[in-house]
Amino acid sequence: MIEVKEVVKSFDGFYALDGLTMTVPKGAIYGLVGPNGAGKSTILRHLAGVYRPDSGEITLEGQPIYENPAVKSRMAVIPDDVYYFGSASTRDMMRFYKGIYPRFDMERYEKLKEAFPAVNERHPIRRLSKGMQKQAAFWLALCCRPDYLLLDEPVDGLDPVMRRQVWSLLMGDVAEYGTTVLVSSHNLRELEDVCDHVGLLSHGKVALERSLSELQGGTVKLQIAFRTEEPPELPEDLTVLHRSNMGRVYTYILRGSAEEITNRFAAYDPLFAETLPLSLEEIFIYEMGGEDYAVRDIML
Amino acid sequence: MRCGTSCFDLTLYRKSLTRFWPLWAANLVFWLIVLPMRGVTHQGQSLIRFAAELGELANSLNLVFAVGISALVAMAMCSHLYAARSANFMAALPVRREGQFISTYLAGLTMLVAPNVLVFLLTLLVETLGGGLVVGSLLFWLGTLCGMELFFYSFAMFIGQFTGHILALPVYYGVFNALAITLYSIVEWLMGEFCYGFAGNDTFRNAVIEPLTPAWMMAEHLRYENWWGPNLNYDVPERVTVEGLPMLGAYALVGVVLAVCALLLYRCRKMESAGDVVAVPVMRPVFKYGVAFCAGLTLGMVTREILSLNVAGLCVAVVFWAVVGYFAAQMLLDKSFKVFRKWKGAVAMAGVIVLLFAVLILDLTGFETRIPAVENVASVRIGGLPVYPYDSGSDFDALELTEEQYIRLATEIHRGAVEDRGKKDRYWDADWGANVRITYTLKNGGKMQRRYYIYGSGSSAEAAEALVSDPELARRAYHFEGVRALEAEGYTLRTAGVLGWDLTSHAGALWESVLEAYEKGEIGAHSLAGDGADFGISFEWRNQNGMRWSRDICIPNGSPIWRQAYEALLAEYPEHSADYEHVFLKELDLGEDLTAAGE
Repeated sequence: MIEVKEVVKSFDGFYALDGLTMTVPKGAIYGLVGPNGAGKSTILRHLAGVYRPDSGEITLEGQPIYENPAVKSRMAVIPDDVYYFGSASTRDMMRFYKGIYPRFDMERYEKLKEAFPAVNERHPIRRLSKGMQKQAAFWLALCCRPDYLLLDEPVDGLDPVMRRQVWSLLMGDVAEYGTTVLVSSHNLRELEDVCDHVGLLSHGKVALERSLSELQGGTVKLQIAFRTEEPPELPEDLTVLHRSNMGRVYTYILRGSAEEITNRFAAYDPLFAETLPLSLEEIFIYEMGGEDYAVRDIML
Repeated sequence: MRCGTSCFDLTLYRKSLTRFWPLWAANLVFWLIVLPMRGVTHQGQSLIRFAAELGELANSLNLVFAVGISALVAMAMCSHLYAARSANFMAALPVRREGQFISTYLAGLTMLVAPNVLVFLLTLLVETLGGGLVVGSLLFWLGTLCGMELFFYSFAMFIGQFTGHILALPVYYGVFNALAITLYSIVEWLMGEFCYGFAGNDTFRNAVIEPLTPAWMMAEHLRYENWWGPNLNYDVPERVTVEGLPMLGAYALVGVVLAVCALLLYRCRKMESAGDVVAVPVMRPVFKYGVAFCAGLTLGMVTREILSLNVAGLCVAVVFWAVVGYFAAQMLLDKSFKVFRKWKGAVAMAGVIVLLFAVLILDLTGFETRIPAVENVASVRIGGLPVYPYDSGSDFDALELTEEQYIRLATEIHRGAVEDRGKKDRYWDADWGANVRITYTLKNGGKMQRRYYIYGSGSSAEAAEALVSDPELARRAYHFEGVRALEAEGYTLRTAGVLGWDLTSHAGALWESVLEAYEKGEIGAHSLAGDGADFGISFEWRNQNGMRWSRDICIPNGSPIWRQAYEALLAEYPEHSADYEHVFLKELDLGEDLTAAGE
């Protein structure tokens, strides 16, 4: 388990992380989402032991991560912009990782050649395409046999087939070895398929942190037509994230379970009422609207 | 802490060596060509001569090479800190910071030292096989090169921790290598312009400034010298002197300390500083105001020279360039051209500079008019007086004067110079002018130094004349007691040089004549300035180790000593009389006496 408690980090007076607290359960696939500049990459670098927080605590199974080789050797990181030594090939980097990571698995390295056939292990990595460089990064990271995998925009640049390949490998490791994966991505549709936990970052804090099922079960889209011309006043304890209408058909995004919402609106004896599940993308958009980050209608 | 995993990582060490192999390969190839390969051909001279001269080759080549290669290797070893991607990559590895630093530092040191050792062994082999082994010379080359590289490499690694930009490292390295002496020279020049009588502080310069300029110190004081005496084949030096090794050892130790300091900085380094010109936040204002100050001084001085500005113009130039330097530094720190909204610091700095100039120009500290009271002075030294005739007895610079009458004379010279300030027409009235330096040692332990250009008329000249014509001071300057002490230590009088001719067998008799003439007052009188040729006899003593000591004694024209010298020359070099006779006839006023002696 990764625990982050009240972490603060500033850069030249700007607070990139402002008392961030989050928990990544062991064996989970945790999706870290948030608008641009929310602090996703920054917290990932803290978790990788690159940055030292100004205050707060970051631990992995109770041990601090920063300057802790024993903990960091159980972790592999794939940043959004991968780095390799000057003219190193995948094979060269393999030798380097083998010397650094005590659990590096040569057998797995040989087996994974089939999973990444497009990557020539003897070619300098810098001469490969962006997508192939990402593939090489995955190849090497998986061979380190990490207990924890930190991924920043991992499938950015990969073709659809390779995306599925990579997710398949990751989820296989999660199922078989209990690997914990923390992935930061803007591709919420893809995250929705793989993640079981989600953390929503905004302004350097975690605005929302739930399991995916709780998240999706806790927010409902209601389409309703009232008998009256004007919609009634809704009770104050009902959290309305969004409201819109098309004629007399109103659409509400509400916090609460489908059953609860249905029962409460039944009191208004509507002409028509239907609850619909929300996608992760829709939950993100409507939750961010509450964080003053909504889609704006701009007249040009 | 388990040292095996924390202090050193073999994978990182090996990777650093293999990644930057062109550096150590170039290092190796260069020295292979300069040493063993040249040893094989030994360029037309004997191998043993070649081997003996390697030490002297090291004098000129080692320092330049060490300064350059050390910077390049440090840039390579620190390169991962200067881009966000590589910095983050390294920081994420399961290796502690100490392990990362020590592994890369040692890799760099290996790149520098290992080729040197290999070249040393190969050259040793070449010399041994060729029958021209000179181990000392080769060891000097190896030891000094490794010592220099240890220092300069560690210094560059230390400097490298203060920046996040790869190009900034060599700039900082070059600047800080020369900063102390350059800045001191500029400040000294500036003070000389504004403070009448400012003499600098040689003690401070020698004790502090020069040691802070290691390249200068090594160039000046580290030396291997062959002394080629007359022998059959001129291949083997008569003796060898080596100087400066303890100094180099001290710098090598400083290098180790700098490496430790670099490690400590690396441990605390924020990886987000990659790309920043200054990586350590507390150093940013130091950088900004340091650049401003240095820009103001150096460019202000250059502008003044180009435009021939007066004092006010110099002040304006310094302030202008300091402000330019301030904003330039701010641009580098912010990585943006939009920095002019941060003008308050520039204004404050300009105000401080103007205030400093005001203090100097108006002499608010009283520096220019301060003359110590005689009773507060323990001793005084006066240098630069144009004492005539010029011989060992005119070396007043070396005399430490403690008597009250001499201290009073020195303060009178000082007072006259202060009163002469601004009197530019003095030059045309005077027979002579000289740069005179007065150094007081005060009874409270302090020192006071002044330098003035004094003229050959006025109260300064009168006091100076009284000083140099004092027979007691001349006696001290000649230091005849010192000769007797040396003779007691085993020095013997070897030669007497007369008009360029060595008189070995007559040296003792001539010396006795000189001593006798001095006691009678016939020689040894001095005054200020003078024209006409000085002719004298130089006497040289030597001991069994070949150490030498000499005294030059000016002999007045017409003195009987010249007759004695002429007769000695005739006795030792009769066949060359035509070469020296005319000097005795025309210059030394021996005329008829000479003709009689020749007969």
